[in-house]
Amino acid sequence: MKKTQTDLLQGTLDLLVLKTLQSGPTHGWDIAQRIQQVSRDVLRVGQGSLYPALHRLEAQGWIASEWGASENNRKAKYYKLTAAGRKQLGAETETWRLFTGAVELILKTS
Amino acid sequence: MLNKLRLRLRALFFKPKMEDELQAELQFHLERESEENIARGMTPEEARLAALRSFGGVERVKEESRDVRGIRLLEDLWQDLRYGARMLLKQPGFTLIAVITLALGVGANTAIFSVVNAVLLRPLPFKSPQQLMWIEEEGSSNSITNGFVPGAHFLEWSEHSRALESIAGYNAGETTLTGAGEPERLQRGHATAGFFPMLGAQFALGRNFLASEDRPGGERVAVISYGLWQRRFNSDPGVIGRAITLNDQSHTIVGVLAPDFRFIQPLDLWSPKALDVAREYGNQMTTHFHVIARLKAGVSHGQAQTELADIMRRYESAKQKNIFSFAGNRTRVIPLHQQLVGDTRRPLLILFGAVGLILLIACANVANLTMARAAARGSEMALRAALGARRIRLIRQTLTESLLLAAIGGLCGLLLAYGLTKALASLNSANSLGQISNMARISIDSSVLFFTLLVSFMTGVVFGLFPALQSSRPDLNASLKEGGRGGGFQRGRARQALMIAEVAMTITLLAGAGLLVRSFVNLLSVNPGFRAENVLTARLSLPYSRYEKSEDRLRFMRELLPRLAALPGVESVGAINHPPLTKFTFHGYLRVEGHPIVANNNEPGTPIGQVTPDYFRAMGIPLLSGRYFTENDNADSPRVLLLNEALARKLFPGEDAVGRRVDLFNGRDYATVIGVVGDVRHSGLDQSVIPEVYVPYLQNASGWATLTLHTRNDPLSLANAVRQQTLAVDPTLPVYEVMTMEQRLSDSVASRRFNLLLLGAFALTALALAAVGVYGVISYSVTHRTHEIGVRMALGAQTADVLRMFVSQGMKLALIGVVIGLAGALALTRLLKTLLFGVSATDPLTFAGVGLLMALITLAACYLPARRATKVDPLVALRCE
Repeated sequence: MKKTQTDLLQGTLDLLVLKTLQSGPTHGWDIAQRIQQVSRDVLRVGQGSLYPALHRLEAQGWIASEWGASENNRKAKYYKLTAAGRKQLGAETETWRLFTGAVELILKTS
Repeated sequence: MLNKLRLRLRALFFKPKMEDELQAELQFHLERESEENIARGMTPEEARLAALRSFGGVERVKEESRDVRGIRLLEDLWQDLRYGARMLLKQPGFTLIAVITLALGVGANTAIFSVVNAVLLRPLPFKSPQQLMWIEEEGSSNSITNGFVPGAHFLEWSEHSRALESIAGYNAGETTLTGAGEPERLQRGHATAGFFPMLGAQFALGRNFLASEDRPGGERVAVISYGLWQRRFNSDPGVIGRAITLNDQSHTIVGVLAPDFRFIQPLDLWSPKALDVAREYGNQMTTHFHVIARLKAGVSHGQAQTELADIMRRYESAKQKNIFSFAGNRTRVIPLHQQLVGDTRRPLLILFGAVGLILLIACANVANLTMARAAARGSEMALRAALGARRIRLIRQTLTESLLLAAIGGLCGLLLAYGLTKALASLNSANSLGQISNMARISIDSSVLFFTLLVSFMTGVVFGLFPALQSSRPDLNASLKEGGRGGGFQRGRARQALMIAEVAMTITLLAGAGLLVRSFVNLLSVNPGFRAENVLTARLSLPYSRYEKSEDRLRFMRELLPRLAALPGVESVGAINHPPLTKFTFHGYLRVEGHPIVANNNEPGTPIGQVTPDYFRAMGIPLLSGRYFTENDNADSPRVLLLNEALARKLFPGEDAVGRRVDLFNGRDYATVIGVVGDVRHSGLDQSVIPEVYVPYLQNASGWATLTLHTRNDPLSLANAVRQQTLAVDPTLPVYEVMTMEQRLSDSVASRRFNLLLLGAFALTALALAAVGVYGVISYSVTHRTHEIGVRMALGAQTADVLRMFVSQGMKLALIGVVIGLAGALALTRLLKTLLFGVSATDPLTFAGVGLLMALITLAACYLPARRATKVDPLVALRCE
């Protein structure tokens, strides 16, 4: 039961992370903040799922990481979108639109 | 993909660094969160706690982040390895037996593979060796020039062939080095100038022969081997340009070969062949020598053979009629490696197959042991399965333990192989591997190491998978109930099948070894035709320059032989031009007086032995009729000869040979047969007797001589005295190959002994392993059925009944194995045919013998554990639940 839920969340989280990184490299904390701000506090990313997701996306080769200085000049791990990640973002956006559109259709008819 | 691999490797090898980075990343997040909280007006302490709260479990995040790195599997492996190691340490008896068994299997395989690698796989140590060809010509079936190429053909090919990039010829002989130290007999080659460049030979010092030196009348030069340079010239860097005396002629050293240069025989030095073109094309005795060539790229050796044969035929049909014809010769072009490997391939592959069987037996043994142990651990596995361990996880753990065991066994096997390989290399120094011996450096190199690794791994999988699959599917209910006694009918069947297979494989090996043993015994019981005991032999070569006339050579012998005869402990002394078991050097074409002349170029000549009067006595060669030579059969008396029995029978079938007249040298000089002597196996114990004729040294003195001394005590104790006496007569004459006749005899069977020793050792190893295997199966069965035995005895079974029960159980299995093994052996020993002597590949006596031996060994292996069963105390047995 729990598994399907995580799966769904995971897929969504991946899409959100990739989308956030489209506007440029940044670190984990900032990604969480931006998702929260842009979604007007609707979506809150739990750190417990953010970091495993980042590591998984990196392992997939969709994002890459390097250490850099943060805005307040501390060492932070920055993530950026790779070429493969850009492609993946396109594909996932497409899938998401298809999915939500379908769900929307069903909700309207019933 | 690459990126993924990089990350995983990093995760594996830089684990602490990855952990630090993860820690730092999360730390940054928490601090950033705290700062935000402070900005919202919290105190630093509150801010930190709030941040931690919102983050959730740091350790859980870490764990999940780690999981996505994909090294879970490796961490499990590490865990399994540690667990496996603990289990092995806890059962030292099992571990020791398993490791020894595996080490034997892997070690023997590695050692034999090192030979296979050196002989069959490794390329020859020359430049682009796959293009190098051996070219030979064959006349009639047993002509003495077979294999050699006439000089004219070589010259024709060098000029006209388009398939060859280069061609070179050489032959090997001996020479005497004098001056600066004791005179020494050396092995000398004569090669055309293209020989070394074609092979890509390197020079440590100096250079190759120049073309101007490789022609008649060119300057006399020599290229010496690295070994000779070290030994005789103390590695003197100024040796180039120095003059040395070879066969009383001065030669200039122009080069020293690199230390790793070897060609077929180990030769000490080389001189230019200096072919005389006019002579080779003329009507004279032509050169016959060995020819090697390098093919042009893209040309096959078949194409080259066709072309060379065409050139040869064109030349032969165009040449003048009065010149000796080789038109009947067949030209053959053979890859050099194939030519050198020759007859060595088959025995080697047989040995390789034999060690393969040993490894299988070892695997069966260890699988048996592992299964017995797995049975004992049945309840552990069942418990783990009951607690939710997945099947794949259990298989993986059992397999990891097996592979760990295989790795340890493989490592010990490698150590064993290191020693075995050294032993094999030293056995090989007696040229047991035939022509390629000198070039096949038997050693453990990277490909051998790779082979060992592969074999160890495969071994682990083979013996590990079987028990792993079985133990991973425990019948939870039964196993937990049985309380650790484990096992069951299924598992017993598998163990029995393995035992049958072991016995069968062992029988096959034993049969092969048995046949070789019988062959060797047959060989040694062949009468060589002479008495090998207490005979010392030593070779001499009287240089033509100082012993040109027959009288000179006679004078030398007349002075030397009495000196030797006077040595203490010497019974009699003789001399012959070529002793038994060496190559014939002197042949004649026989003509019997009054018989029509049968001209046949291709008929090999009859070997002529030039012997001193006491030769036959010193060698113990019996006189069959007539008389031996005496001192009176000399240059002033009528010419006489002796025939061996085979020749007497060939020339005068059913008649008395004594008194008949025979000529050896083109009808110029008939000699009278004065006697017939016993046959000598001249070409080897396994070869047929060759018709031979003997002439008195006093009438026909050769420059070659082998002294034969019949001694009362150890012949070798006279070696120095013989050397000294010879030097006293001629201080520049080297005495060489000083060895007993028994040594010569033993060397002549060296390669047979090599094969016999190895196959015999393998068969005994297999027998020991199989005995352990049978013992293990029955012993396990006894332990397993202790309870049952107790019940039976309590119900009145006698010890004899119990004994019979177990012995008959084991023997039934063993006999099935023996029958299967004998059937397999019948099919396989056929491969040994060429290695056998005087025994058929399906010799019933050998087969019956090995069957019986196996049965007896199994009986003993069954009896020991069965007797233990009879000692069972019913009370204890019943209580042992």
